Amino acid sequence: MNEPNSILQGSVAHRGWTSVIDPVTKLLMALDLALLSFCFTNLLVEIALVFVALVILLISKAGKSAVHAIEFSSFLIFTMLIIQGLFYSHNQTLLVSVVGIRFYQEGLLYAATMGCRIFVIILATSFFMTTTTVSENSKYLEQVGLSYKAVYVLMSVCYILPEMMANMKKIQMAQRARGINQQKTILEKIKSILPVLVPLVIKTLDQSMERSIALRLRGFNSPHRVALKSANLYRHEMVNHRGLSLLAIILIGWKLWIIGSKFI
Amino acid sequence: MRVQNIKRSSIWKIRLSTATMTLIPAAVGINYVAKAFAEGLKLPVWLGTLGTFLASMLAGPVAGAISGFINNVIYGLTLSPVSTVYAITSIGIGIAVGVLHAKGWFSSAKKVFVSAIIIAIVSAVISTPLNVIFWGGQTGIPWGDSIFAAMIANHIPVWISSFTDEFILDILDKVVVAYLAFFIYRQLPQRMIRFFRDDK
Amino acid sequence: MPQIEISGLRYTYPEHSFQVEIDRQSFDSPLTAIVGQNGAGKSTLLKLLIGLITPQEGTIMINGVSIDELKPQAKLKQIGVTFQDPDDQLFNATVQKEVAWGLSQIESDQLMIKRAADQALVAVGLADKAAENPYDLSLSERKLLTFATVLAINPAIYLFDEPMMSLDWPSRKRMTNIFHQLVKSGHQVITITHDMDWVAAEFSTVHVMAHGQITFSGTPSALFGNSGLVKRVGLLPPRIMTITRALGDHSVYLTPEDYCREHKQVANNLN
Ligand SMILES: Nc1ncnc2c1ncn2[C@@H]1O[C@H](COP(=O)(O)OP(=O)(O)OP(=O)(O)O)[C@@H](O)[C@H]1O
Ligand SMILES: [Mg+2]
Repeated sequence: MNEPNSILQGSVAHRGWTSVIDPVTKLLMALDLALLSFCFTNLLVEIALVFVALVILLISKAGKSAVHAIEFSSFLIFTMLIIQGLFYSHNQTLLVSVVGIRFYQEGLLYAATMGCRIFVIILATSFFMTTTTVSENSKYLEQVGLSYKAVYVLMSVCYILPEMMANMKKIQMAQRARGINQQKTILEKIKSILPVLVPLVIKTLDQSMERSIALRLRGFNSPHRVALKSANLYRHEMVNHRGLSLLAIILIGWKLWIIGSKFI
Repeated sequence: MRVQNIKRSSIWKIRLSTATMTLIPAAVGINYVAKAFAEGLKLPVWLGTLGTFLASMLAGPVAGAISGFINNVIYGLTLSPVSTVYAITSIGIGIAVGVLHAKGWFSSAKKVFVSAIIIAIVSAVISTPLNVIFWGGQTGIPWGDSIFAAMIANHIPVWISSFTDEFILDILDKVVVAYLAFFIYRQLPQRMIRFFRDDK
Repeated sequence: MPQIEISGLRYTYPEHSFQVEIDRQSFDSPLTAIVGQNGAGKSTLLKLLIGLITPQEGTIMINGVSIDELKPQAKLKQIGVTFQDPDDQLFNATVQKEVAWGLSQIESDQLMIKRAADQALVAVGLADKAAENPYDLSLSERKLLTFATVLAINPAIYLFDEPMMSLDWPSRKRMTNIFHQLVKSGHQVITITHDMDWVAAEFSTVHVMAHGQITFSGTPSALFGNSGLVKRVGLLPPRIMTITRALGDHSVYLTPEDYCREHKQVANNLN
């Protein structure tokens, strides 16, 4: 079971260069890298981009969550190579033939390009993930103008998850004691869904109701609430944001223009 | 997600009440835990939209859509970054459930089946282009993908093959989730339903 | 009298260093309390006793049969259990269905199920709420409902994890009565509790747990007579003893009535 530990704990040791870049800039960097990988269809360019993302990730000493995500996607990329290598509609050039099964160059290239894009996205996102923490992100988002309510919602998601996983374990235990056994057949499995999910949902919603009442009592809805201003730790924020956003717009425009020009 | 103080009585309320604000994280949590539960039992469905369904039924399409959106962003930032883009699908599901529920299409077991099919279509229509762009049309579920492979091997266009792959998986998942949501919602105490429904 | 026999028990949580360690212990008295500080391992022991978690070493025998040899259904008939939080288990649409569901795990005769469920609801005083949604009941009533789910099955041994917690006064009296009736009809009742007044007043045997071990077994008077031990394991003696100690009286009184019997004069004045 994969719990979102990385976002809950984040990285403790971020004193290096990564800590002077603000979270929004990091997110925009990830977005731009992903968009770049979509603008090119050349495998070599894609490999270069993977390399760039990997270097950023390595020099920031952040790699654990990337390994996880790559593991998660690699099986799918593997099946993509096989399916496209065999059946891609533009397949023409036979590359290899293994015991009568023919792999074609076009399909393999197409799948490899897509696989690289996935890697670029994973690596770029991992850089953001491992070099920021939940509290840093939410503070910064509130500073740059996201509504404090939205920030509250995002924050509480991260705290509610471990609590709910623990509740689920407790409920499963209580129901096992009432005779829901180790589920083997599909019928047993289906029968065991509601006894666990009903108490879990009701308990979770009950806690939400309590939180909501507590928030209201503390005047959370009051329009006079002001965001905390904290000391600014980051460098060149505005320049970074504007520059990277502009790049993103240009890349999207470029891609759209390429797609559009095919139809004309 | 800037929130304005507009008061409306329709299902499209935009005001984020404290009730909705605490419902959304709960819904995201339910999505996450239900998915983990299904994986733990090795069920052939995901169940990862159960919380989105319940949020839409309790507080309307906007709450459901936001829950779905945040769910995918969080999931994307922890496990599989590419799944962030499927946030669009989740928004679509949230809206579809909210509207169907408000129009009474979750009131009986028969109607729930129709709702589930509509929701599966919405989900598959939005997901298919994303599957094609990011995964060449695959869904990542082995038996769905073997259907996909068989179809393109027979020169059926990628779009149709990919839609079929996605829709078959979606219909199974959404029927199960819709019925679960239907049963769980019926089991909720009235005070809870009133609390999240009434705009405060 | 049913009997639970523990020997050479060792259990450690996979993700935690806490260890339960019980070399030899039998539970054979009709009404037993298990007490101890938070985190002493009481709930862990209870989970071990019903086989929800499996010890790394040692055996637990119920009437001479090891619990991991008992079939699930036979186990349900042997031991019934309720946990601290009633909301961990309630999921049916009505109170009546909740009780019947538990019973239907071991019984298929619908008429029998209905009769036993109704009887259990009468016993806990929820007969008039049979058609309600469990989650519309008060916390006390939800807790009583979890007791009813076990009473309906009528196992030989009852295990309760903090049954009195969150019960209001009338429900506590009702539960105590039910306990005594169970004992009278030959059942064994073992409960975990933090309520020393209750232990002193109602129980014949008490086990003290500390750091995963059972450090004392005996009668409540033996326990509370040993003030050094009581302090060491972090317990508070019954309230009446706190008062009499403060007044310089070092005898053991389990209840206010106890004290009054000893001091007829005071009793007469009280009346
Ligand atoms: N599922 C679990 N996984 C890991 N450690 C656990 C688990 N459950 C309990 N523990 C640990 O085991 C120890 C004993 O817990 P236990 O619940 O048995 O105590 P207890 O005596 O019942 O306490 P309380 O009076 O608070 O109910 C504690 O340190 C607790 O943190
Ligand atoms: Mg306990």
